[in-house]
Amino acid sequence: MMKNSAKLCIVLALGLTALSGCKSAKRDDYVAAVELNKGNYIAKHDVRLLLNPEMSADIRGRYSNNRSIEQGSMLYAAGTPASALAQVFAHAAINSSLQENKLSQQQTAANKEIQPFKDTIGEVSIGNLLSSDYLEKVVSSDVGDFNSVNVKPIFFVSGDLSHVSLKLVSWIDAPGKTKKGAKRYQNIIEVHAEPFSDEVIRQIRQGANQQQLKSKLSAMLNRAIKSLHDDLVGAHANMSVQQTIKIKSGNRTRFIRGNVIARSCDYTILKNLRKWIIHYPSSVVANETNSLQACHNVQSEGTTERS
Amino acid sequence: MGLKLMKQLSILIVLLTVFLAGCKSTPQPAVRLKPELLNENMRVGIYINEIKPATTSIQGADCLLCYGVAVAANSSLSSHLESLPTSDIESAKQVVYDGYKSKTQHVEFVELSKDKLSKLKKFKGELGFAKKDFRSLKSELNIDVLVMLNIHAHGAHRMYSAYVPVTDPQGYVSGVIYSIDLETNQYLQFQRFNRKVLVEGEWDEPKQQFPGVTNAYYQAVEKVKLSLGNIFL
Repeated sequence: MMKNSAKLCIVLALGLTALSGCKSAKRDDYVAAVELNKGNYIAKHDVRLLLNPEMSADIRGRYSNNRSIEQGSMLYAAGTPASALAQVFAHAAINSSLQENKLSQQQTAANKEIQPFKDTIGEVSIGNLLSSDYLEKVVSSDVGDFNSVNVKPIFFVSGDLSHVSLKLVSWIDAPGKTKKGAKRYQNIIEVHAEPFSDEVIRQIRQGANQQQLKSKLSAMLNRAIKSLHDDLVGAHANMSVQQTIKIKSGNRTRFIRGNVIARSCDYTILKNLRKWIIHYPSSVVANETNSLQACHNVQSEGTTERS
Repeated sequence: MGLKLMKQLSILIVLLTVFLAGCKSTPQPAVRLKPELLNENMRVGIYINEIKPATTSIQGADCLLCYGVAVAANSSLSSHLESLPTSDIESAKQVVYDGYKSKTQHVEFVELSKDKLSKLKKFKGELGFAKKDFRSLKSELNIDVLVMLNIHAHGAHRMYSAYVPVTDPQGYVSGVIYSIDLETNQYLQFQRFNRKVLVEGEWDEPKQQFPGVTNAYYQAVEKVKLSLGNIFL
Protein backbone atom coordinates (compact mmCIF):
# COMPACT_ATOMS: atom_id res chain seq x y z
CA MET A 1 0.00 0.00 0.00
CA MET A 2 2.80 2.39 1.05
CA LYS A 3 4.79 1.41 -2.05
CA ASN A 4 1.81 2.24 -4.23
CA SER A 5 1.39 5.67 -2.63
CA ALA A 6 5.10 6.39 -3.18
CA LYS A 7 4.72 5.44 -6.86
CA LEU A 8 1.63 7.63 -7.12
CA CYS A 9 3.53 10.56 -5.61
CA ILE A 10 6.40 10.08 -8.08
CA VAL A 11 3.96 9.95 -11.02
CA LEU A 12 2.25 13.06 -9.65
CA ALA A 13 5.59 14.87 -9.29
CA LEU A 14 6.63 13.95 -12.84
CA GLY A 15 3.22 14.99 -14.15
CA LEU A 16 3.39 18.35 -12.41
CA THR A 17 6.93 18.93 -13.64
CA ALA A 18 5.83 18.21 -17.20
CA LEU A 19 2.76 20.42 -16.85
CA SER A 20 4.74 23.26 -15.37
CA GLY A 21 6.50 23.62 -18.70
CA CYS A 22 3.20 24.20 -20.52
CA LYS A 23 2.81 27.82 -19.54
CA SER A 24 6.37 29.00 -19.36
CA ALA A 25 7.46 32.61 -19.27
CA LYS A 26 9.48 34.06 -22.15
CA ARG A 27 13.19 34.10 -21.45
CA ASP A 28 14.62 35.02 -24.84
CA ASP A 29 15.71 38.42 -23.48
CA TYR A 30 18.50 36.78 -21.50
CA VAL A 31 21.84 35.29 -22.59
CA ALA A 32 25.05 34.43 -20.78
CA ALA A 33 27.69 36.56 -22.49
CA VAL A 34 30.42 34.92 -24.56
CA GLU A 35 32.99 37.53 -25.56
CA LEU A 36 35.41 37.43 -28.47
CA ASN A 37 39.05 36.90 -27.57
CA LYS A 38 41.54 39.62 -28.40
CA GLY A 39 42.83 37.63 -31.36
CA ASN A 40 39.33 36.95 -32.71
CA TYR A 41 38.06 40.48 -33.17
CA ILE A 42 36.40 41.01 -36.53
CA ALA A 43 37.83 43.49 -39.03
CA LYS A 44 35.70 46.64 -39.36
CA HIS A 45 34.46 45.99 -42.91
CA ASP A 46 33.78 42.27 -42.35
CA VAL A 47 30.90 42.66 -39.90
CA ARG A 48 27.62 41.43 -41.45
CA LEU A 49 24.18 41.38 -39.86
CA LEU A 50 21.96 38.32 -40.12
CA LEU A 51 18.33 39.33 -39.85
CA ASN A 52 15.17 39.56 -41.88
CA PRO A 53 14.45 43.26 -42.57
CA GLU A 54 10.81 42.40 -43.39
CA MET A 55 10.28 41.07 -39.89
CA SER A 56 7.99 43.15 -37.63
CA ALA A 57 9.58 44.85 -34.63
CA ASP A 58 9.02 42.82 -31.46
CA ILE A 59 7.51 45.32 -28.99
CA ARG A 60 6.71 44.02 -25.51
CA GLY A 61 5.40 45.44 -22.25
CA ARG A 62 7.95 46.12 -19.54
CA TYR A 63 7.31 43.52 -16.86
CA SER A 64 8.31 42.85 -13.27
CA ASN A 65 10.76 39.99 -12.63
CA ASN A 66 9.30 39.21 -9.23
CA ARG A 67 8.50 35.46 -9.22
CA SER A 68 8.03 35.27 -5.44
CA ILE A 69 4.96 33.36 -4.33
CA GLU A 70 3.05 33.33 -1.07
CA GLN A 71 2.89 29.95 0.59
CA GLY A 72 2.03 28.78 4.08
CA SER A 73 3.68 25.83 5.78
CA MET A 74 3.59 22.49 3.98
CA LEU A 75 2.72 19.27 5.78
CA TYR A 76 4.41 16.12 4.52
CA ALA A 77 2.81 12.74 5.27
CA ALA A 78 5.00 10.25 7.12
CA GLY A 79 6.07 7.22 5.12
CA THR A 80 9.07 5.64 3.50
CA PRO A 81 12.07 7.77 2.45
CA ALA A 82 10.97 7.29 -1.17
CA SER A 83 7.51 8.70 -0.52
CA ALA A 84 8.99 11.59 1.47
CA LEU A 85 11.32 12.38 -1.42
CA ALA A 86 8.47 12.15 -3.88
CA GLN A 87 6.44 14.60 -1.79
CA VAL A 88 9.34 17.07 -1.71
CA PHE A 89 9.71 16.80 -5.50
CA ALA A 90 5.96 17.30 -5.94
CA HIS A 91 6.12 20.35 -3.66
CA ALA A 92 9.08 21.72 -5.65
CA ALA A 93 7.30 21.12 -8.97
CA ILE A 94 4.15 22.89 -7.76
CA ASN A 95 6.18 25.87 -6.52
CA SER A 96 8.22 26.08 -9.70
CA SER A 97 5.03 25.99 -11.75
CA LEU A 98 3.44 28.73 -9.61
CA GLN A 99 6.56 30.91 -9.97
CA GLU A 100 6.70 30.46 -13.74
CA ASN A 101 2.96 31.16 -14.02
CA LYS A 102 3.37 34.36 -12.04
CA LEU A 103 6.13 35.58 -14.36
CA SER A 104 4.14 34.56 -17.41
CA GLN A 105 1.04 36.39 -16.12
CA GLN A 106 3.13 39.51 -15.46
CA GLN A 107 4.47 39.40 -19.01
CA THR A 108 0.96 38.90 -20.43
CA ALA A 109 -0.45 41.76 -18.34
CA ALA A 110 2.40 44.08 -19.41
CA ASN A 111 1.84 43.21 -23.07
CA LYS A 112 -1.90 43.84 -22.71
CA GLU A 113 -1.18 47.24 -21.18
CA ILE A 114 0.78 48.44 -24.22
CA GLN A 115 -1.56 46.93 -26.81
CA PRO A 116 -3.31 50.30 -27.49
CA PHE A 117 0.05 51.90 -28.48
CA LYS A 118 0.94 48.90 -30.61
CA ASP A 119 -2.41 49.15 -32.37
CA THR A 120 -1.96 52.83 -33.16
CA ILE A 121 1.61 52.56 -34.49
CA GLY A 122 0.72 49.41 -36.45
CA GLU A 123 3.25 46.95 -37.81
CA VAL A 124 6.76 48.39 -38.07
CA SER A 125 9.37 46.39 -39.93
CA ILE A 126 12.95 46.21 -38.70
CA GLY A 127 14.09 47.36 -42.14
CA ASN A 128 12.15 50.61 -41.69
CA LEU A 129 13.92 51.28 -38.40
CA LEU A 130 17.46 50.55 -39.61
CA SER A 131 19.57 53.29 -41.16
CA SER A 132 20.68 52.79 -44.77
CA ASP A 133 24.31 52.25 -43.64
CA TYR A 134 23.31 49.25 -41.56
CA LEU A 135 20.77 47.97 -44.09
CA GLU A 136 23.70 47.56 -46.48
CA LYS A 137 25.34 45.24 -43.95
CA VAL A 138 22.30 42.95 -43.70
CA VAL A 139 22.71 39.56 -45.32
CA SER A 140 20.47 36.49 -45.40
CA SER A 141 21.51 33.30 -43.64
CA ASP A 142 22.39 31.48 -46.90
CA VAL A 143 25.08 34.04 -47.78
CA GLY A 144 26.21 34.72 -44.22
CA ASP A 145 29.76 33.74 -43.33
CA PHE A 146 31.98 33.08 -40.33
CA ASN A 147 31.76 36.75 -39.24
CA SER A 148 28.01 37.21 -39.69
CA VAL A 149 26.23 38.08 -36.49
CA ASN A 150 22.62 37.15 -35.76
CA VAL A 151 20.62 39.99 -34.22
CA LYS A 152 17.26 39.88 -32.54
CA PRO A 153 15.94 43.24 -31.30
CA ILE A 154 13.27 43.24 -28.54
CA PHE A 155 11.75 46.58 -27.55
CA PHE A 156 10.25 47.09 -24.09
CA VAL A 157 7.76 49.86 -23.40
CA SER A 158 6.22 50.59 -19.99
CA GLY A 159 2.46 50.98 -19.79
CA ASP A 160 2.71 54.68 -18.93
CA LEU A 161 5.32 55.26 -21.67
CA SER A 162 7.72 56.62 -19.08
CA HIS A 163 10.34 54.08 -20.07
CA VAL A 164 11.33 52.74 -23.49
CA SER A 165 14.27 50.39 -23.93
CA LEU A 166 15.75 47.90 -26.35
CA LYS A 167 17.54 44.63 -25.83
CA LEU A 168 19.50 43.56 -28.88
CA VAL A 169 20.25 39.87 -28.49
CA SER A 170 23.19 39.02 -30.74
CA TRP A 171 25.21 35.89 -31.39
CA ILE A 172 27.64 34.20 -33.78
CA ASP A 173 27.41 30.42 -33.96
CA ALA A 174 30.61 28.50 -33.32
CA PRO A 175 32.06 27.13 -36.60
CA GLY A 176 32.55 23.49 -37.48
CA LYS A 177 31.30 20.45 -35.65
CA THR A 178 31.19 21.89 -32.18
CA LYS A 179 28.56 21.17 -29.54
CA LYS A 180 25.03 21.98 -30.72
CA GLY A 181 24.11 25.54 -29.80
CA ALA A 182 27.72 26.50 -29.02
CA LYS A 183 28.42 30.18 -29.64
CA ARG A 184 31.56 31.95 -30.78
CA TYR A 185 30.07 35.23 -29.59
CA GLN A 186 26.91 36.02 -27.63
CA ASN A 187 25.79 39.17 -25.86
CA ILE A 188 23.02 41.67 -25.21
CA ILE A 189 23.25 45.35 -26.09
CA GLU A 190 20.71 47.28 -24.04
CA VAL A 191 19.72 50.85 -24.89
CA HIS A 192 17.52 53.01 -22.67
CA ALA A 193 15.84 55.94 -24.36
CA GLU A 194 15.80 59.51 -23.14
CA PRO A 195 12.40 59.79 -21.38
CA PHE A 196 9.53 61.40 -23.31
CA SER A 197 8.15 64.69 -22.05
CA ASP A 198 4.64 64.61 -20.51
CA GLU A 199 3.31 66.45 -23.57
CA VAL A 200 4.70 63.86 -26.01
CA ILE A 201 3.33 61.02 -23.86
CA ARG A 202 -0.11 62.68 -23.99
CA GLN A 203 0.14 63.02 -27.78
CA ILE A 204 1.21 59.39 -28.27
CA ARG A 205 -1.62 58.22 -26.03
CA GLN A 206 -4.05 60.15 -28.22
CA GLY A 207 -2.51 58.57 -31.32
CA ALA A 208 -1.29 61.97 -32.56
CA ASN A 209 2.51 61.60 -32.42
CA GLN A 210 3.32 58.02 -33.35
CA GLN A 211 6.22 59.18 -35.53
CA GLN A 212 8.08 60.30 -32.41
CA LEU A 213 7.79 56.81 -30.91
CA LYS A 214 8.97 55.22 -34.18
CA SER A 215 11.92 57.65 -34.37
CA LYS A 216 12.88 56.72 -30.85
CA LEU A 217 12.76 52.98 -31.65
CA SER A 218 14.84 53.62 -34.76
CA ALA A 219 17.46 55.71 -32.92
CA MET A 220 17.77 53.03 -30.24
CA LEU A 221 18.16 50.22 -32.77
CA ASN A 222 20.84 52.06 -34.76
CA ARG A 223 22.69 52.95 -31.56
CA ALA A 224 22.60 49.29 -30.48
CA ILE A 225 23.87 48.05 -33.86
CA LYS A 226 26.71 50.61 -33.74
CA SER A 227 27.61 49.41 -30.24
CA LEU A 228 27.49 45.76 -31.34
CA HIS A 229 29.82 46.64 -34.20
CA ASP A 230 32.20 48.33 -31.73
CA ASP A 231 32.13 45.26 -29.48
CA LEU A 232 32.91 42.91 -32.37
CA VAL A 233 35.87 44.97 -33.56
CA GLY A 234 37.25 45.29 -30.02
CA ALA A 235 36.49 48.95 -29.40
CA HIS A 236 34.83 48.20 -26.04
CA ALA A 237 37.84 46.30 -24.70
CA ASN A 238 39.29 49.06 -22.50
CA MET A 239 37.44 49.25 -19.23
CA SER A 240 37.60 51.49 -16.19
CA VAL A 241 37.55 50.37 -12.56
CA GLN A 242 34.38 48.57 -11.44
CA GLN A 243 31.96 50.88 -9.65
CA THR A 244 28.33 51.21 -8.61
CA ILE A 245 26.58 53.56 -11.00
CA LYS A 246 23.50 55.48 -9.88
CA ILE A 247 20.66 55.79 -12.37
CA LYS A 248 17.98 58.34 -11.49
CA SER A 249 14.90 58.35 -13.66
CA GLY A 250 11.94 60.36 -12.36
CA ASN A 251 11.31 59.31 -8.77
CA ARG A 252 13.01 55.98 -9.30
CA THR A 253 16.64 55.42 -8.32
CA ARG A 254 18.47 52.24 -9.23
CA PHE A 255 22.06 51.15 -9.13
CA ILE A 256 24.14 49.13 -11.54
CA ARG A 257 27.46 47.56 -10.74
CA GLY A 258 29.79 47.61 -13.70
CA ASN A 259 32.49 49.39 -15.69
CA VAL A 260 32.00 52.58 -17.64
CA ILE A 261 33.40 51.95 -21.14
CA ALA A 262 32.49 55.23 -22.87
CA ARG A 263 30.79 58.47 -22.06
CA SER A 264 29.55 61.38 -24.09
CA CYS A 265 27.21 64.30 -23.53
CA ASP A 266 24.29 62.18 -24.82
CA TYR A 267 24.98 58.70 -23.53
CA THR A 268 27.02 56.79 -20.96
CA ILE A 269 27.93 53.24 -21.96
CA LEU A 270 28.74 50.65 -19.36
CA LYS A 271 29.36 46.94 -19.10
CA ASN A 272 27.41 45.32 -16.29
CA LEU A 273 28.51 42.27 -14.28
CA ARG A 274 26.90 40.02 -16.91
CA LYS A 275 29.17 41.74 -19.51
CA TRP A 276 26.08 43.11 -21.24
CA ILE A 277 26.67 46.50 -22.85
CA ILE A 278 24.18 49.05 -21.53
CA HIS A 279 23.54 52.56 -22.87
CA TYR A 280 21.94 55.10 -20.55
CA PRO A 281 21.20 58.72 -21.41
CA SER A 282 23.86 60.71 -19.52
CA SER A 283 21.07 62.86 -18.09
CA VAL A 284 19.87 59.96 -15.90
CA VAL A 285 23.34 58.78 -14.78
CA ALA A 286 23.82 60.57 -11.47
CA ASN A 287 27.62 60.02 -11.46
CA GLU A 288 27.75 61.98 -14.73
CA THR A 289 26.09 65.16 -13.40
CA ASN A 290 29.34 67.17 -13.44
CA SER A 291 30.28 66.02 -16.95
CA LEU A 292 26.75 66.85 -18.10
CA GLN A 293 27.05 70.34 -16.66
CA ALA A 294 30.28 70.76 -18.63
CA CYS A 295 28.43 69.61 -21.80
CA HIS A 296 25.69 72.21 -21.18
CA ASN A 297 28.31 74.89 -20.64
CA VAL A 298 30.08 74.00 -23.90
CA GLN A 299 26.75 73.97 -25.76
CA SER A 300 25.63 77.31 -24.34
CA GLU A 301 29.06 78.87 -25.14
CA GLY A 302 28.66 77.64 -28.71
CA THR A 303 25.19 79.19 -28.91
CA THR A 304 26.47 82.50 -27.54
CA GLU A 305 29.34 82.58 -30.05
CA ARG A 306 26.98 81.90 -32.96
CA SER A 307 24.54 84.58 -31.83
CA MET B 1 -0.51 14.92 48.53
CA GLY B 2 -1.96 14.81 45.00
CA LEU B 3 -3.76 18.11 45.59
CA LYS B 4 -0.53 19.79 46.77
CA LEU B 5 1.31 18.56 43.69
CA MET B 6 -1.47 19.88 41.46
CA LYS B 7 -1.28 23.26 43.18
CA GLN B 8 2.50 23.45 42.72
CA LEU B 9 2.13 22.46 39.08
CA SER B 10 -0.51 25.16 38.53
CA ILE B 11 1.75 27.82 40.05
CA LEU B 12 4.61 26.64 37.87
CA ILE B 13 2.42 26.84 34.74
CA VAL B 14 1.25 30.37 35.69
CA LEU B 15 4.83 31.52 36.30
CA LEU B 16 6.01 29.97 33.03
CA THR B 17 3.15 31.66 31.15
CA VAL B 18 4.02 35.04 32.68
CA PHE B 19 7.69 34.49 31.82
CA LEU B 20 6.92 33.50 28.22
CA ALA B 21 4.46 36.38 27.78
CA GLY B 22 7.28 38.76 28.71
CA CYS B 23 9.41 37.40 25.85
CA LYS B 24 7.32 39.14 23.23
CA SER B 25 7.53 42.81 24.08
CA THR B 26 6.36 45.68 21.87
CA PRO B 27 9.06 46.46 19.33
CA GLN B 28 10.61 49.89 19.39
CA PRO B 29 8.96 52.03 16.69
CA ALA B 30 11.07 54.28 14.44
CA VAL B 31 12.19 57.59 15.95
CA ARG B 32 12.94 60.42 13.54
CA LEU B 33 16.03 62.49 14.29
CA LYS B 34 14.92 65.92 15.41
CA PRO B 35 17.55 68.44 14.26
CA GLU B 36 16.83 70.71 17.24
CA LEU B 37 18.13 68.00 19.59
CA LEU B 38 21.60 68.35 18.09
CA ASN B 39 23.76 71.44 18.34
CA GLU B 40 27.24 72.17 17.06
CA ASN B 41 28.86 71.70 20.46
CA MET B 42 27.48 68.22 20.98
CA ARG B 43 30.07 65.45 20.97
CA VAL B 44 28.97 62.45 18.91
CA GLY B 45 30.59 59.00 18.93
CA ILE B 46 29.78 56.46 16.20
CA TYR B 47 30.12 52.75 16.82
CA ILE B 48 29.74 50.17 14.05
CA ASN B 49 29.65 46.46 14.75
CA GLU B 50 32.09 44.05 13.17
CA ILE B 51 30.74 43.26 9.70
CA LYS B 52 31.05 39.62 8.70
CA PRO B 53 31.42 38.57 5.05
CA ALA B 54 28.26 38.60 2.92
CA THR B 55 26.29 35.35 2.78
CA THR B 56 22.85 33.90 1.98
CA SER B 57 20.20 34.35 4.68
CA ILE B 58 17.60 31.59 4.60
CA GLN B 59 14.15 32.13 6.06
CA GLY B 60 11.18 29.74 6.26
CA ALA B 61 13.13 26.46 6.20
CA ASP B 62 11.84 25.77 9.68
CA CYS B 63 12.95 22.23 10.48
CA LEU B 64 16.61 21.46 11.09
CA LEU B 65 16.85 19.12 8.12
CA CYS B 66 15.03 21.63 5.87
CA TYR B 67 17.51 24.33 6.89
CA GLY B 68 20.46 22.02 6.22
CA VAL B 69 19.09 21.17 2.77
CA ALA B 70 18.48 24.88 2.00
CA VAL B 71 21.98 25.88 3.12
CA ALA B 72 23.51 23.10 1.01
CA ALA B 73 21.40 24.08 -2.01
CA ASN B 74 22.66 27.67 -1.80
CA SER B 75 26.25 26.87 -0.86
CA SER B 76 27.83 27.97 -4.15
CA LEU B 77 26.00 31.31 -3.98
CA SER B 78 27.08 31.76 -0.35
CA SER B 79 30.71 30.96 -1.22
CA HIS B 80 30.62 33.57 -3.97
CA LEU B 81 29.06 36.20 -1.70
CA GLU B 82 31.67 35.50 0.97
CA SER B 83 34.38 36.27 -1.56
CA LEU B 84 33.05 39.82 -2.17
CA PRO B 85 34.84 42.71 -0.46
CA THR B 86 33.03 44.27 2.50
CA SER B 87 34.34 47.77 1.72
CA ASP B 88 31.04 48.88 0.12
CA ILE B 89 28.88 47.99 3.11
CA GLU B 90 31.53 49.34 5.48
CA SER B 91 31.37 52.70 3.72
CA ALA B 92 27.88 53.09 5.24
CA LYS B 93 29.60 54.36 8.38
CA GLN B 94 31.05 57.27 6.40
CA VAL B 95 27.49 58.28 5.36
CA VAL B 96 26.52 58.39 9.05
CA TYR B 97 29.71 60.28 9.93
CA ASP B 98 29.11 62.88 7.20
CA GLY B 99 25.48 63.26 8.30
CA TYR B 100 26.40 64.04 11.91
CA LYS B 101 29.35 66.16 10.80
CA SER B 102 26.85 68.44 9.04
CA LYS B 103 25.14 68.97 12.41
CA THR B 104 28.04 69.20 14.85
CA GLN B 105 31.80 69.74 14.87
CA HIS B 106 32.73 66.92 17.23
CA VAL B 107 32.18 63.56 15.57
CA GLU B 108 34.41 60.53 15.97
CA PHE B 109 34.32 56.77 15.57
CA VAL B 110 34.50 54.94 18.88
CA GLU B 111 35.62 51.41 19.74
CA LEU B 112 33.60 49.25 22.10
CA SER B 113 34.41 45.64 22.85
CA LYS B 114 31.67 42.98 22.72
CA ASP B 115 32.46 42.25 26.33
CA LYS B 116 31.93 45.86 27.30
CA LEU B 117 28.58 46.02 25.51
CA SER B 118 27.32 42.77 27.00
CA LYS B 119 28.25 43.89 30.51
CA LEU B 120 26.13 47.05 30.33
CA LYS B 121 23.25 46.93 32.81
CA LYS B 122 19.63 46.62 31.71
CA PHE B 123 17.70 49.87 31.59
CA LYS B 124 14.10 49.78 32.78
CA GLY B 125 12.57 52.48 30.62
CA GLU B 126 9.53 52.75 28.39
CA LEU B 127 9.52 52.63 24.63
CA GLY B 128 11.79 55.37 23.38
CA PHE B 129 14.59 54.43 25.76
CA ALA B 130 17.50 52.05 25.08
CA LYS B 131 17.17 48.61 26.61
CA LYS B 132 20.69 48.78 28.05
CA ASP B 133 22.03 51.56 30.19
CA PHE B 134 24.57 53.37 28.04
CA ARG B 135 24.87 56.39 30.37
CA SER B 136 28.15 55.22 31.88
CA LEU B 137 29.81 55.66 28.47
CA LYS B 138 29.29 59.44 28.56
CA SER B 139 32.28 60.13 30.77
CA GLU B 140 34.23 57.09 29.65
CA LEU B 141 34.17 58.03 25.94
CA ASN B 142 33.79 61.76 26.53
CA ILE B 143 30.76 62.03 24.24
CA ASP B 144 27.15 63.25 24.59
CA VAL B 145 25.50 61.08 21.95
CA LEU B 146 26.32 57.50 21.01
CA VAL B 147 25.34 56.33 17.53
CA MET B 148 25.13 52.56 17.05
CA LEU B 149 25.12 51.15 13.52
CA ASN B 150 24.57 47.41 13.52
CA ILE B 151 24.57 45.49 10.24
CA HIS B 152 22.91 42.18 11.12
CA ALA B 153 23.01 40.45 7.73
CA HIS B 154 24.05 41.26 4.19
CA GLY B 155 24.36 39.37 0.94
CA ALA B 156 21.31 37.52 -0.37
CA HIS B 157 17.96 36.57 1.16
CA ARG B 158 15.84 33.62 0.14
CA MET B 159 12.46 32.49 1.45
CA TYR B 160 11.67 28.82 1.80
CA SER B 161 8.63 26.73 2.57
CA ALA B 162 10.14 23.69 4.32
CA TYR B 163 12.54 22.18 1.74
CA VAL B 164 11.39 24.22 -1.23
CA PRO B 165 12.27 27.83 -2.17
CA VAL B 166 9.35 30.20 -2.73
CA THR B 167 11.45 33.15 -3.89
CA ASP B 168 14.58 33.59 -5.94
CA PRO B 169 17.54 34.96 -3.96
CA GLN B 170 17.35 38.73 -3.53
CA GLY B 171 20.03 41.29 -2.69
CA TYR B 172 19.82 41.90 1.04
CA VAL B 173 21.02 44.18 3.81
CA SER B 174 19.42 44.32 7.25
CA GLY B 175 20.30 46.07 10.45
CA VAL B 176 19.50 48.92 12.76
CA ILE B 177 20.82 52.40 13.46
CA TYR B 178 20.06 54.36 16.60
CA SER B 179 21.47 57.25 18.57
CA ILE B 180 21.22 57.60 22.31
CA ASP B 181 21.34 60.70 24.47
CA LEU B 182 23.85 59.57 27.10
CA GLU B 183 22.38 61.93 29.68
CA THR B 184 18.93 60.30 29.66
CA ASN B 185 19.49 57.01 27.77
CA GLN B 186 16.69 58.12 25.43
CA TYR B 187 16.69 57.40 21.71
CA LEU B 188 17.28 60.53 19.65
CA GLN B 189 16.82 58.44 16.54
CA PHE B 190 15.90 54.81 15.84
CA GLN B 191 15.50 53.06 12.49
CA ARG B 192 15.56 49.45 11.38
CA PHE B 193 16.41 48.65 7.77
CA ASN B 194 15.60 45.48 5.95
CA ARG B 195 16.31 46.10 2.28
CA LYS B 196 15.62 43.38 -0.30
CA VAL B 197 16.25 43.94 -4.00
CA LEU B 198 14.99 41.68 -6.78
CA VAL B 199 17.42 40.22 -9.26
CA GLU B 200 16.76 41.45 -12.78
CA GLY B 201 16.17 38.37 -14.92
CA GLU B 202 17.93 35.09 -14.27
CA TRP B 203 19.72 34.61 -10.96
CA ASP B 204 21.21 31.10 -11.20
CA GLU B 205 24.47 31.90 -12.99
CA PRO B 206 27.22 30.04 -11.10
CA LYS B 207 29.59 29.94 -14.11
CA GLN B 208 29.49 33.73 -14.37
CA GLN B 209 29.82 34.17 -10.58
CA PHE B 210 26.18 35.12 -9.98
CA PRO B 211 26.26 38.58 -11.62
CA GLY B 212 22.49 39.09 -11.16
CA VAL B 213 22.50 38.42 -7.41
CA THR B 214 25.77 40.36 -6.98
CA ASN B 215 24.25 43.40 -8.68
CA ALA B 216 21.11 43.13 -6.53
CA TYR B 217 23.34 42.96 -3.44
CA TYR B 218 25.20 46.13 -4.40
CA GLN B 219 21.84 47.78 -5.11
CA ALA B 220 20.65 46.86 -1.60
CA VAL B 221 23.87 48.30 -0.12
CA GLU B 222 23.46 51.59 -1.98
CA LYS B 223 19.77 51.84 -1.08
CA VAL B 224 20.59 51.36 2.60
CA LYS B 225 23.26 54.06 2.32
CA LEU B 226 20.66 56.34 0.73
CA SER B 227 18.19 55.72 3.57
CA LEU B 228 20.97 56.35 6.13
CA GLY B 229 21.68 59.67 4.44
CA ASN B 230 17.97 60.52 4.53
CA ILE B 231 18.06 60.46 8.34
CA PHE B 232 19.70 63.88 8.22
CA LEU B 233 17.38 65.55 5.69
